[in-house]
Amino acid sequence: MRKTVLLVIFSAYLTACTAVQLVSPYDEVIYNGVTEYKDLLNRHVKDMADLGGTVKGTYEANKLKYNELETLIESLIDRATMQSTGGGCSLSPALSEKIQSYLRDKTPGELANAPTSENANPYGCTERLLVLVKVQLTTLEQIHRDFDKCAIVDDSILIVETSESVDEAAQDGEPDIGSLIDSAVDDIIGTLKETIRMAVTEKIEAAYTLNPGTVPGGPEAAVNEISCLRVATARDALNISNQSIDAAWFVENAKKNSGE
Amino acid sequence: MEFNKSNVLKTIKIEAIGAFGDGWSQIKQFAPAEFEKMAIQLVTISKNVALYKIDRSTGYSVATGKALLRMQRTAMESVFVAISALVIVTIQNAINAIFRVLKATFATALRAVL
Repeated sequence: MRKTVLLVIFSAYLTACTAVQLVSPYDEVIYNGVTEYKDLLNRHVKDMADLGGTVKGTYEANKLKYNELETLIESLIDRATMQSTGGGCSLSPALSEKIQSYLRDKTPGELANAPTSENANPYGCTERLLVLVKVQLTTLEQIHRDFDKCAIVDDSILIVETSESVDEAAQDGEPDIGSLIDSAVDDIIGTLKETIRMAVTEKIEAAYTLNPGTVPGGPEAAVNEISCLRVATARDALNISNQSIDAAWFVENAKKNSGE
Repeated sequence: MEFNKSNVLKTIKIEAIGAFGDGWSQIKQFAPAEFEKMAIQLVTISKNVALYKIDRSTGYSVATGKALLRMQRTAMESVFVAISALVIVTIQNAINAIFRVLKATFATALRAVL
C-alpha cells in the first residue's frame, strides 16, 4: 500500500512538474550584450596600441569610450541583478545535500566541497561574472589614465605636409575644404598639446625638485611622454580581460545549450 | 517497461551517467585551458616588467605590472565562478534529462495511474 502511494506521488510529480531550474535562466540580451562588449573592448584596446604616443591615444582623448563601455556592462549587470535573488553563486545546504544524496559517489568534488550558506542559491552567478568584467575595465582605465606612458610621436611632419598641400591647392585655385578643416584642427591640437606639455612640465619639475628619483629617468624623460596604452600592456590586458568576458559568455552559452 | 522501483532506479542510473558525463567533459576542457592561460600570462607580466627596466621603450612599468596582476587575480575568480556555475548547470541538465526519460519510459503507467 505504502509503495503504491509513493509511486502515485512520484508519477504525479513527473507528470505535473516543469523542468528544474537551479540557475537563472538563459537570457538572450545578456548573451548578445557580452558578445557586443567583447567586440567593443577588443577594438578599443587594439586601436589604443596603434595610437600610443599620439594625442588620439591618450586617456583624455578616450575617456568617453570608457564611459560607453562602462554603461554597456552596467546595463547587463542591472539585468542580471534583477534575475538574481541575492543568494550569490552557490547551492543552499539543503539542495546541495539533496543532490549529493542522489548522486552519491558520482558527486563532483567541486560540489561536495563547495562552501554554502543558508540563503545561498546559484541565481547570482551571472551577476557576479559580469561584475568581475566591470572590475577589469576599471583597472584597464586606471592603467591608461595613471600608469602607462609613451614617448610622444613627432607628428609635426604630417602637419607641415598638410599645410603644404593646402598652399598648393590654393595656388592652383582649387581650395580643398577638407584639407582646410584638417589643417585648422591640426593647429588647434598643436596649440593644446603645447599648452598641456608646458603645464605637465611645470608639475613634473616641481615634483622632481621636491622628491628627486620619483620620475624614472629624471624630468626630461617624463616630459616627452603622454598617457597611453603601451603595446605590451594592450596585449596582456586584452588577454586577461577576455578571460573574464569568456567565462561569463561560456556560462551563458551552457545555459543556452541546455534549453535547446 | 514495468513501472516499479527497480526499473525506475535503473533508468535514473543510466541517464545520470550519460547526462552528467557530457556536461562534465565540457567543464574538464574549459578549466585546464583557462589555468594554462593564467600561467602563461603571469610569466609574460614578469618578463615585460623586466624588459621595461632595461629599455623604457619596451614592456611596461612596475605599476602597470602590478595592475595587470590584479586583473589576473580577478580573471582567476571569473574562471572559478564560471566552473561553479557550469557544475550547477550540468546538474540541472542531468536532473531534467532524467525526468524527461522517466516520463517517456513510463508514459503508459503514468496514464494508468492518473
